[in-house]
Amino acid sequence: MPSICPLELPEILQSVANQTSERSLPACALVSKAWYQVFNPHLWKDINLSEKRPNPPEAIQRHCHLVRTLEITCQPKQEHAALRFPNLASLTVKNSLQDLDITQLVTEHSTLSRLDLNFIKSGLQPSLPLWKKLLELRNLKDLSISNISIGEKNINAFWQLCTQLERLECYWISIPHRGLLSSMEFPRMKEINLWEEIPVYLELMRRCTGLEILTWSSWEGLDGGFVPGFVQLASSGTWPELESLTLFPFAITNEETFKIISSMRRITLLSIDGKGSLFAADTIVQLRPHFHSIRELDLAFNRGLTSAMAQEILSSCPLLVKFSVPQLKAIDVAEGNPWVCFGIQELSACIYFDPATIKEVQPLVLDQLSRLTRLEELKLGHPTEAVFQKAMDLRLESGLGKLSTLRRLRYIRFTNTRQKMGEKEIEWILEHWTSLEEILGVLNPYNPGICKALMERLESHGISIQTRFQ
Amino acid sequence: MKVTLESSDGQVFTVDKEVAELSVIIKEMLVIEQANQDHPIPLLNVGAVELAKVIEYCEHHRNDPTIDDDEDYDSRKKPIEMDDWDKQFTIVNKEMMFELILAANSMQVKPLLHLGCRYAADIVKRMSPTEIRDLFQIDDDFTPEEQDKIEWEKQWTKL
Repeated sequence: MPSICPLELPEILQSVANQTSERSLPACALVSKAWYQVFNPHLWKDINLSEKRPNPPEAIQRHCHLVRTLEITCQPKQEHAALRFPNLASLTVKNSLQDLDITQLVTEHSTLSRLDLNFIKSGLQPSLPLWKKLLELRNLKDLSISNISIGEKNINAFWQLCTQLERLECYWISIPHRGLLSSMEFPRMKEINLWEEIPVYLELMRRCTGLEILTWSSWEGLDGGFVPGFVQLASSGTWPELESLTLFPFAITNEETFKIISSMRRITLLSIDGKGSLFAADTIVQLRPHFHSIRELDLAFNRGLTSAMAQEILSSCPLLVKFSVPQLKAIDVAEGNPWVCFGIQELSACIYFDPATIKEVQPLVLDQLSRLTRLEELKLGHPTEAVFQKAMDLRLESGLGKLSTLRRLRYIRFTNTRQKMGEKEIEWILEHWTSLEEILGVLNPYNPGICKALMERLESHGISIQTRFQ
Repeated sequence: MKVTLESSDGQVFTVDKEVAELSVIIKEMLVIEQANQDHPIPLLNVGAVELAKVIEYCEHHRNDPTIDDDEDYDSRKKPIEMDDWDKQFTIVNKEMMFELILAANSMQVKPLLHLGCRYAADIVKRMSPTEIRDLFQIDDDFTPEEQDKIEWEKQWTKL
């Protein structure tokens, strides 16, 4: 051992504690008094009151000053009423507690900066006293509400609350009318995440002039006439700081996409997508100046995004972390510039080949893929539709071995491609892709017997395998 | 530009300035002693074996973006990237790694310090308190009552 053990230095032990997995924390806290001092706060930082846990007695009260994040998923209990957390920053209430209980909790925890009221099952209509208490939370910056009805009388209290927020998330909320919205401004709001199309949302967005991140999505296509209004807002320079934009699944024309992109000064994330969305040559021109800052691009359903554009993006965006496009022709990859997105973690592209040249071209494509050593998710082939072109051949004799560098790969999808994998390939996967958790695709449609045996072999190593989308 | 560093046992190493500057301490010294670089910078707490290893690390990471904020090193919030080279680099025995942690701490090479702490955090994974104590030669200074109390308390937390 060295003259002194570095773990005797409190700042080093603290750094170790910051990197210790959650499951190992309890044992570390029991090592010695010095270790207890360092590890115990990590144990109590983040707690959960749920039905599955026994009722929390004095122990929680004794460590209440360490609790920063509290999640309540159980019905109200007598013992909870006495609990106070003087440093509480974040409170999540899920499908539990009544208006009165929440009002009391909020009243006693004026330190809250984040509140999440999540009522997927039961719904909630907060009372005016609760809204007023929320207005007294001077530190509240981040509000997330789902399945909540704002109520006729409370709407102005809600808008008032929005004036102090930096982040707002709304899922399935009902807003009865505009109230005083037209006289309000929300200059502090940096991030907004809205679900479903409610006419009032456009009005709300218009008043958030400091937005950096905007997400507007829904299960169904958003096309209730809101797109022109949204494009008008974007192109008139409403959000000069906007750099991350998700509109899903909007059906947006190329002209509209063009206008939106032209209005953005900096782009880090762009996900404008929906069946029927288009992305044409003039739009990629608008995107080019942002290649150095783009981290995520999700354009999977944009039929207009050609293979050549996808290849250009892969060979020009060094910070790309996540990229999904409808198609990528292998020949474009082989003849194009080398990819530069070495930090990419998620790549979704249907790569297809010309049968006449696949033998020469596939090794070149595999070379490019093999350099993406941070890759965690690789989605080849089309999720649902049959692929008529020749897809990537994942056999060792076709060069699969080149992908041994993808050690972080957790998920691979090759649905609707026709593979001919055998025992050799499966043993190779088990040896080299040690992080792999899930496969989606048919290993060998030509031989159901072999296919079944291979699937069992993978499953026995804890890799889950599905043949098609559930 | 080159700078020379001298280990506690008197061995002199010449490295590129930008490599040496991964050490916050050396970077600060170079600012102060800008004019006077004729003699090597003495590192009184770092032996030659460890210094060679620290330099090897800094050479490899010379082009990494710098992280100033210590908060960024909280890996549960934001996992730190560890590439294959780093993994190879950490295949050393525990004593060597502890010497490296001490060297990184005294020279303030933060990414290496962080890597060493990650190594220690990985060692204690799935270990019992007794095993951790035996491994690091730590005395158990809890009374049995204190120990029972902590055991009892920790069942209420999320973990």
